[in-house]
Amino acid sequence: MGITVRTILHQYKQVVLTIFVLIVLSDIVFFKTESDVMLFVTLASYVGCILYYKLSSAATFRLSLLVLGVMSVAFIATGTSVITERAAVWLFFLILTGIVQQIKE
Amino acid sequence: MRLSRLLRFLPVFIACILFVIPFFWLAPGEMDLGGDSSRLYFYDPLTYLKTHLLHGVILSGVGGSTLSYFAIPYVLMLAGFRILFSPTIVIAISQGMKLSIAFLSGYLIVKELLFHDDKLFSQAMIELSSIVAGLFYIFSPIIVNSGWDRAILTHTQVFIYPLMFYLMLRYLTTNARGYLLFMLLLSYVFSINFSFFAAPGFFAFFPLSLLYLFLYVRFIRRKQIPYKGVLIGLGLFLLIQSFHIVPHILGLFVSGEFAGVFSEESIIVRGMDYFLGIAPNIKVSAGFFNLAQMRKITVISWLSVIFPLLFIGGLLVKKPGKPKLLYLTVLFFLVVLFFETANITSVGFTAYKYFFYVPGFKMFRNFFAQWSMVFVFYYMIAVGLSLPWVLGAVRRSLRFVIVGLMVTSLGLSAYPLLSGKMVNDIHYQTKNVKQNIRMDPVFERVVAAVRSLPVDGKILSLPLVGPGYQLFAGLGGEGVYMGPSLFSYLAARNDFTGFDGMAPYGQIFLNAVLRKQWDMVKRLFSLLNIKYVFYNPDPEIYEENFPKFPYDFVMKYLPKTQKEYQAFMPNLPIDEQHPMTVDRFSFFPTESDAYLPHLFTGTNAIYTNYPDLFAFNQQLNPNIKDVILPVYEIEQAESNVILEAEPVNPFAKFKENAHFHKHAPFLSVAMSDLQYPFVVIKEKLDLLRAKRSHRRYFDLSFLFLTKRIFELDRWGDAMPILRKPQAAPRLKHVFNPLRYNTWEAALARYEEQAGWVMQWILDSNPSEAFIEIDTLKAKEQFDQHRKRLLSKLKGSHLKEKDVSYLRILVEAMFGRIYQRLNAKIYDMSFSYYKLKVPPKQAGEYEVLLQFENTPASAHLPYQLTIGDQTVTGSSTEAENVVGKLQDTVTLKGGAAPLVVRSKPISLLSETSWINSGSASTKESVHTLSLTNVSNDYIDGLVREIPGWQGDRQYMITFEYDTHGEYFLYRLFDKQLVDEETGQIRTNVFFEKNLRSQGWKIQQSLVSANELSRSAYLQFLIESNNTSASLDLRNLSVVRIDNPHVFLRKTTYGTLSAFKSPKILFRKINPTKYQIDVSGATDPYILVFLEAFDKHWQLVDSAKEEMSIAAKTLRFLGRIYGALGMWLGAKYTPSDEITASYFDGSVAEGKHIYSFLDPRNFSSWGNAAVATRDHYPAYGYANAWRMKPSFVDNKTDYTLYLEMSNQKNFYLFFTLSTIVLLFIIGWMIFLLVRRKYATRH
Repeated sequence: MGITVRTILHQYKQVVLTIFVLIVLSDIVFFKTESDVMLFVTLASYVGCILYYKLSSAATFRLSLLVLGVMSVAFIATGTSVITERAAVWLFFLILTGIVQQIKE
Repeated sequence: MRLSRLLRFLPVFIACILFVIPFFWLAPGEMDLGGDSSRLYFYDPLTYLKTHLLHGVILSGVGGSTLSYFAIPYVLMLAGFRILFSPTIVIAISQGMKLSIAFLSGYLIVKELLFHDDKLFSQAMIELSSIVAGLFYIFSPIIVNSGWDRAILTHTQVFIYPLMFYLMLRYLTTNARGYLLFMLLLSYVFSINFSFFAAPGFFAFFPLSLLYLFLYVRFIRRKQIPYKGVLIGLGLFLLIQSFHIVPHILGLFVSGEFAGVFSEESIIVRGMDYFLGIAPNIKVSAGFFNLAQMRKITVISWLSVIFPLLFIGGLLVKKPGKPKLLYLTVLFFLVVLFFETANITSVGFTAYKYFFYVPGFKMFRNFFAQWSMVFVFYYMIAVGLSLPWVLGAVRRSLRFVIVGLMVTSLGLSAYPLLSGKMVNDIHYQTKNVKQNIRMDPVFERVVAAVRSLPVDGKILSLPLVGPGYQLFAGLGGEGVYMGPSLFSYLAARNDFTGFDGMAPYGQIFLNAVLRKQWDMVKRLFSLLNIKYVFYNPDPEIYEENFPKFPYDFVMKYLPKTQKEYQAFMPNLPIDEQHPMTVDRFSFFPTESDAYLPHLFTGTNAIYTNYPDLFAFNQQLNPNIKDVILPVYEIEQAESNVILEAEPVNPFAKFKENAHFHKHAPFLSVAMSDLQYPFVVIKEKLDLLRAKRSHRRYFDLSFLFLTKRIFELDRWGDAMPILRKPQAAPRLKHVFNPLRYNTWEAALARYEEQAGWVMQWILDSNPSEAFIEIDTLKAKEQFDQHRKRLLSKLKGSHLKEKDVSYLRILVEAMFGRIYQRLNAKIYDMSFSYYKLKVPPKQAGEYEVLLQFENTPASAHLPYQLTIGDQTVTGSSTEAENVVGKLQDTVTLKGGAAPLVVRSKPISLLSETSWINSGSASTKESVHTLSLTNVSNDYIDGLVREIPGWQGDRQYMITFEYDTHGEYFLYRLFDKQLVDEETGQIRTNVFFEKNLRSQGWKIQQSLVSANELSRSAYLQFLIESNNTSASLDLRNLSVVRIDNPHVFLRKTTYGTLSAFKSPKILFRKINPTKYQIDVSGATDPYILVFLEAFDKHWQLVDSAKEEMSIAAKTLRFLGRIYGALGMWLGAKYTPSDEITASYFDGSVAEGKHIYSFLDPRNFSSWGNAAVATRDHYPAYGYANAWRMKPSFVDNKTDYTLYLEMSNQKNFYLFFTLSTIVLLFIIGWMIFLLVRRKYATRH
């Protein structure tokens, strides 16, 4: 009975998802790049998580809510800055993902 | 229960309040007229309708065809209101209607959508959510900022589109045809919102909305779509709108504009370029927060956070049986958000750019504005649908907080609109000049006077503005109207209020005024058919009140004050002694010899390749009645051909002195800094990325080269000097920062980068001419860098021996760079051209040279080379102004390069050296002995440049020998800042270092702007010596005036003169003229001084066509004629002559302005003549080459000149009216049947 990647992923679901959330937040707050690669790779990973962990649309909408929180704080603090804009783009894709999930549900 | 009942009445109450609020926006009698739509339809809708809407021509500037029929029903409705109310009240009704119906529509839509989920929510909840949604829509900052201030015609889309959506929703869900018919009726009244004029808004809203409704009805409500009814509705819609849609489509085909939709130029220049220009400013976050784009963010904006929170909250709420409608709506919201903001990832942005290749998508170039309304619309539905879910999921106390926050946010954003502040604004860039006015009765009299002017000529309104706006002060001098001209829109008289409208002669006029070329102005008056000059002396519309817009551009050329205008007026070709005055306003008639009537005949045509410019060439074209036609459109060989060679001027690219541009790089990291390697890597990457664009790489390279020089300037004193050669550091040395931090390394890096850019110039330019341009730019940049480095060394704290060593190093490096650059020294004797000869016009041509500022004799001798032919000349004609070469050349069809050699004239010949120091001349060498030490602007020897003019280019050339000393050479120009006070500002054009051992050549190209009045050269000592001498020879300042080269057929002017017929013309309306021709025995040219348009056609009054279509048209024409007579439009023949010209050969009869005059229809079905001989004359007007055979060799006959598209309007307006009556009849039938069914 060896430890496989699958069991690790299962055991550490919360950690994986937390890391994912941190990556999203870092991309918004720290990287300040306009690169699509980071966004789409992270998003694809998230879609992978949705499929693997069978995450509900509510989880995606909760994450959207978090991003909206970051976007709102950034907006109040910095106006329509790079951070706010990056958060807005993330919000767009997360809501879109959530709706697609919801329609499938 | 009570709350529910209260909420049911609340929307009606709110709608009433919203309707009433605009009645408090304007003071009694006040009107917010002006703006792009003029809004004169509020002031006098019937006149506006008659003059502007019923006829498909532009009644301003040089005219042309346009279609404004779509506004007829709406303006008719306003005319109905105007019978009962004042313009102020009608404006308030219009605004109130927009506010209240938009709110009600939003409310009804959300209520209808939520009502389906009746079991899920209480009635009160549905009512509350719908009310909040309606308020959200109308008070959204995006809608509030959507142009309520002097709203344009299409602004009614704010309520019409949501209302149509609601009616469609009701029709699709109930299948009740009443909704469909009401929708059609509404679409007719507000045709403007369904026209090509409103295409962006229409296509943004309807395709998506139809899809949304289809998905909703079919998959959420699970109902059948009434396809039959939808198709009938669509058919009726097209028929009822045909009165504006069909003439527009047919017009596009005739004018060839349809092909333009697919052209690359149209897609890129008119579409994508504009899109790319504004896209970086558009923010996705502003979209989410429901904020207007490109507006200031205030504390109030922070409250907007509630809206995205609300609909995400709505999405989060999970309840069994929750319908998918909210998800569908948010999906549509996201789609519209993408179209509204474009900036959703680089991939999304790139995809958006590709949409512009879809024919017609370029209408969305101003995308954020055009998608804004539909964006708010879907946002409203999303908010309305989310609200009950969120409110149902939170505690009661929190509900009040949420609704309270929303209402507060909306209330605060709506305040500027509701308080009327938004429509009581001041004009942009003015000193608090109010936009709103009360009409001055005196100006009403002015408009009435314009209406009664007997001659069919145009008006030039002064003071002239930039765009085609008219300005006049309101009653008591309060407020100023700024918008399309009242003379055009209410008096049906073409006038020139802005230089824009004077196309294609606008710039010619301004330049002529600046250069005081009054003969040019006189000819312009003739060619533009200007009969009157209207002068408005009010200070309120000029001077201090309007320091910038709309005068900022034209003020560079025209008088800056009303006082100056009064002094300027006598220069115009007007009869100042006999003005027509209305109070303080004056109309000056044009001098009789400066006026060309609207229609006239000529017998002589001149065919040339630049008709618009040649029309002003009074030396070669002295007779104003000679009609200038475009040679490229003529399909047979002609005698009177004169071609102008096109200058291939390499200096044209330097109009803004771009080669003297001073880069200002930002320095933050010294070369000794540990971070410097990152600077190196970043620059390398930037340059690598910039290689995709020639210009970007060139500019970035010089920015970095300047950075190298600035680095030495700033940190050079502390930098090590190795005193041994050092190669430029490579990328692998980036981790050794010291490798960059020496003078030798820095200079080696500079030289290496200079080498790259010089190679780039050679490799990436498409032709030798472009290489020359970039080389010249590069040379000036290197000169700047050299100057800065040498100045740095002169003032540095380094040891003297180090300075000497570095100076040698710097000079050696620049020596190598200059050698490699090998910049060309231009011989100003040569001018280069290309000539395109139409194959049919091949033959023998004589050569004429025309110089702009000096007599042709001063440039003798001439030489011209074309292909293998070289001809010379030494004679002149036309009063010594035009140079003529002795031999002729044989031109074949096709393009050929052409070189002219003529003697350049230096402007310096009349001046001498002044200021400190002395100058002596021996054997053409000027020795300048300079004694200055202070290096000041007033020191050294100075030489004025006589004859310097603004808006010209100059080449300054000389040879110099400094005997090893350093000198500074500068060029200054003096620019006029204020004409009235004569205030002058002196500018340094450039500063250059001169140093040589032996003779060297220095050449500089400069472009003086239009304010430049004089210039001088200055030479100074740059070294620390107190005196030194400098030798100069062959010093010249040559104005770059390539002579105009004309090639004139040897048969030119040899045709025997034809006899011109007599014509008498009468205007029936702006789209139809009756022309009585008599004595037309020979061919002649009929000229109509109105913008060229293929829709203008000449129709023979007596020649009937026999096709079935023509017979049908004739039959319909008779019916329309009879109808016109029945409605009172009687035709009374009149022999009255209002004006005659050219010894009576052209006469104007009595003009009328009738929409239904029987003559409008009498030529229907008759043959159009000379359609293939219709050409643009003078670069803009209409000309027909008439031959006797076109009219069956008759000598006396009547022609009708008509705008052919107008016929389509008469026909399809009738069709639309019939369909309208049918729909009204059907509605009445449905109502009666319903009443009958209710009774029984």
